[in-house]
Amino acid sequence: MSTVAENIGQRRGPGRYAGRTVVYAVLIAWACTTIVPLLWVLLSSLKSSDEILTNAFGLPDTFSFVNYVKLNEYGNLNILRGFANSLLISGSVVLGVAFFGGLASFVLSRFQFRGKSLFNVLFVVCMLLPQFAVIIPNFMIIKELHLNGTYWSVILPQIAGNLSFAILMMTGFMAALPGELEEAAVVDGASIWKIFWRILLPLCVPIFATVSIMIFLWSYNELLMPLVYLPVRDMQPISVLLSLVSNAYGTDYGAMMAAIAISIAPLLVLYMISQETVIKGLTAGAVKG
Amino acid sequence: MQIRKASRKMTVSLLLAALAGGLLAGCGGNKDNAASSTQGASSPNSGKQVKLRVATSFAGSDPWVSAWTDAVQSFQAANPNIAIVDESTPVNQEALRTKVKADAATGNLADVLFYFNGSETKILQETNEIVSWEDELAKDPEWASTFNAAILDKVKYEDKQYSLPYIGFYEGLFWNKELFDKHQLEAPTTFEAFMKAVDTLAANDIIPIATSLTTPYIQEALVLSQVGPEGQKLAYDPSWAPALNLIKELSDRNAFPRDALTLDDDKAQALFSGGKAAMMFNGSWTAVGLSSNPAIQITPFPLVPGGKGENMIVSGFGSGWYMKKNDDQAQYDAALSFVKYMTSPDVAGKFAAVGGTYAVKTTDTGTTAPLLTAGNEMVAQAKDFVMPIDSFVSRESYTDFLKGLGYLAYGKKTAEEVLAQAKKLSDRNQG
Amino acid sequence: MNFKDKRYIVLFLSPTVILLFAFLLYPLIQSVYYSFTDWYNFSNKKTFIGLDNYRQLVQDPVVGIALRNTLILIVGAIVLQAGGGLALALLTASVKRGFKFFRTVYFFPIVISGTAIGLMFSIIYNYDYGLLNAIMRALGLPEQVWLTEHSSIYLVLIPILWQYVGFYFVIFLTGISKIPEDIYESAQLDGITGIQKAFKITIPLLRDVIASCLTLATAGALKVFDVVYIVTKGGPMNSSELLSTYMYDKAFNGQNAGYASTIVIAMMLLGILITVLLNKAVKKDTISY
Repeated sequence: MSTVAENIGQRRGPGRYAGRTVVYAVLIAWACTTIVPLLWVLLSSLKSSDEILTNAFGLPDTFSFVNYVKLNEYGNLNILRGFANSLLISGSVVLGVAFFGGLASFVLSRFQFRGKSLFNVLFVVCMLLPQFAVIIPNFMIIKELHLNGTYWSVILPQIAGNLSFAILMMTGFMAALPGELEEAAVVDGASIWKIFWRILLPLCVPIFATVSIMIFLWSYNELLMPLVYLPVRDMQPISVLLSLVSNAYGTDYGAMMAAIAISIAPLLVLYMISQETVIKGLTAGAVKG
Repeated sequence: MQIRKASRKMTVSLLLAALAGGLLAGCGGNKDNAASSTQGASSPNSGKQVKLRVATSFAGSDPWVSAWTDAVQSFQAANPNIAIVDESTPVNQEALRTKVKADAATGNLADVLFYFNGSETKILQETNEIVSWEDELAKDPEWASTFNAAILDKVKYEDKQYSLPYIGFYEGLFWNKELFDKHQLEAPTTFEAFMKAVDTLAANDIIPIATSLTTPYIQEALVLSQVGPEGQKLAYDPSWAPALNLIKELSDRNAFPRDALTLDDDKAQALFSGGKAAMMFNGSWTAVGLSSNPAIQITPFPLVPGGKGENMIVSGFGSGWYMKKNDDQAQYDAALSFVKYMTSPDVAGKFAAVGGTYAVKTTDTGTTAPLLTAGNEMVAQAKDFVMPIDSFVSRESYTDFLKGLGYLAYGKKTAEEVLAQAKKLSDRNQG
Repeated sequence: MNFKDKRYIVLFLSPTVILLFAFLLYPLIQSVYYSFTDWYNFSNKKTFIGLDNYRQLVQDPVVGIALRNTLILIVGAIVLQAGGGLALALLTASVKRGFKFFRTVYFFPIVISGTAIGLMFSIIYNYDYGLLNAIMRALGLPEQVWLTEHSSIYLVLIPILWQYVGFYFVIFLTGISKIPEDIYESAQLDGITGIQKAFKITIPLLRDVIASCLTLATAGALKVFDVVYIVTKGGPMNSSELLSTYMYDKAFNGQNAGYASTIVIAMMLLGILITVLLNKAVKKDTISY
């Protein structure tokens, strides 16, 4: 982790100290803006809805966990089941994107063929298209494939929706990797499949980790699609919890904050794991020289 | 090299897990479907196990969720051969509408729906998959008699009874008697008293009317008061202009919160319930929360000068029970008995304890709050009631009309311009 | 390294192409057709009306405002989001102490849903209960209506831009992790340090990542939706409407799927145009080490 860090700030003299201070001042200032909202959510989850609006930035009158209890009373909802569904759906989406996107990126970064630039246009077009614009046409396709009511109905459109982003990031990363190892492998008579699996993929762990956490996050937060495609609450992911706190007549803000607090914890854990992997990739990258 | 080998193995196993996970996902889904369609031998009546899909708006924080959950459970207990699959979806973020439309577009409607009336009925009717209730009502006169016939009539679509009305709402002028007394103001039952209250309160740093100008309520009140029930049916008629101009006048007199154009309804309600505002014109659904404060009163919106809508209220049955045509007789009977159960006086009585007015007879549970009783009295004493405007105009024209009110309040457009533009969109939608 | 084997090109690209076609391109092509029709409520009845929707689009004053706001957002996303993410990544990579802490907390805003961020800022700007007016009162200054016709788009951009800085931060940090340590070591021997190092080594080596981020920023700007919807609902008087929010409004609130499709097509064309221009600007020859 500190490989990059150690190289900076080795200048001697007072200038180094002043520079450091400025850097830390900027970093800490930004950290404040990112921590405060999270604290606000946690604090607000202990308040009543009215208090969130009228005393938004003060401490709660009384610390009560009533909002968390309320979430359990939302009809046919099992929070643990929701987490399991989220893990299944978003996990499948991430792995599907990593697998298919990885293959496509390999081709795009390492193969020469006519019409390659057309693919770049294709990916940009697909990335620009907002998913909520295609929610009903997609459902008709799902129905045609007889996948409605199954987990596939939300997994497949999400894989498709995230592939362009993954390919854009991974192709760039792969293209910048040196080709010497692969050349050596070709000389040794290794197959293309082997080159992909054994040589390229291990070097791409950092970008896989970063792309995966982003896609997991987007998939995890996806709300309208599971609500519309997966009719049964037992199959829906945890994100629907957030839609349940509002009704036709208003929003229970207290419950909303509790729902957010509950649902972000797994994301933060996954993020930290993924970023450790990035750092591991960094060390691995250093080996290759 | 060690590291690389390890991560290669990890990648391979991850990808294998991906495929396995995907397969599991597929199987899991199929199994759910398969399990419930198997035949059950133990049921007393038909001996056939029936799976009934019901899609309603009773989900999440909807006020009737607990009444709904209890009712579904007791229905299940009484009918062990019927398995209820609850597909209730929240209405916010248009989730329920999108779900039902997606289902309708793909021929996948639930067996029983509790869904919107009016222009939404059309979408269901066009699928040719929903039952018109006339025959069933005729077959069971006792059940039919529990419905208020006038209300049944109001929710007909092209003279057919596709929807059975159930929970209704009304809109009224809520006012805070404590704040009115403090400034020696009379109850806002006449327009003079209302305007005097607006001016006095505004001068004393109290928001006269807690409203968001992105919500339709105050506009509905003014239009009905101005043009009466007949005029209200003529969507976007130029005769509405004086009512809209009153919005501008009220805005000029600082009757609304200063940020009424971006405020949402939740925050407007908080202004009223928090005592920062003295009046609020809103729907009966807010009454439940307000009923804990004894100072809150309710009255119909006063008659505006030259108006035709005295003591009339906006009220309606925005949603109703729909049933899908089912060739399978057991499935059909199960759906029918479910709807009959939900509309029975006992079950409806439990829903009524939460709030709202009802199109069916309800058994009084004796736990209804005074403000809710006052609201129901207001409805009973009203000379006439109309459905809100958005139940009979196209959604696009209505959205545009509401946005136009913001322009109007800030003098960027005249009432005539706003009405003409909405009328144009509305005419186009009819074609 | 260049491979040419056609079988692998087809084999590796086809899953991606099939998924994209089924769930994005095919609906998009349908949208092109819908944009020439009068189609309401997702009903069975569509009437072909030729270019009428496009004529309406050109004359619609709200589209003009939305287009202007979307362009402002794209510029903001590129300069402040991607630029800010790059700056933070460079600074964070240069410090030793607190590296993990900053890396973690900068990710917080992305994890918290747009709904909560939107709610927080709508309360900050609120006239009666808002934080800004509380500060004004404390300072003895007159209270303000913050969200006005002129200010609303900028005030609503603050949470939008701020929320996703962390996204670009993570991507750039991953990109930096790929740069081999020995490059810095040899540079150090040449006496290059600190800021010079960032501009002479790191940023040039990140050029492909920067190019990807420009595309991402453009695509992201076309999908922004929830925060605007909660803070201003596009108001007052449509002054903070974006193409995406206006499209959503027409499709879901207005139920005019024909016109909404027209807006989608316009958004796609705008996005493609900007992406092409940006890619021309950042010449996209990749560098390997």
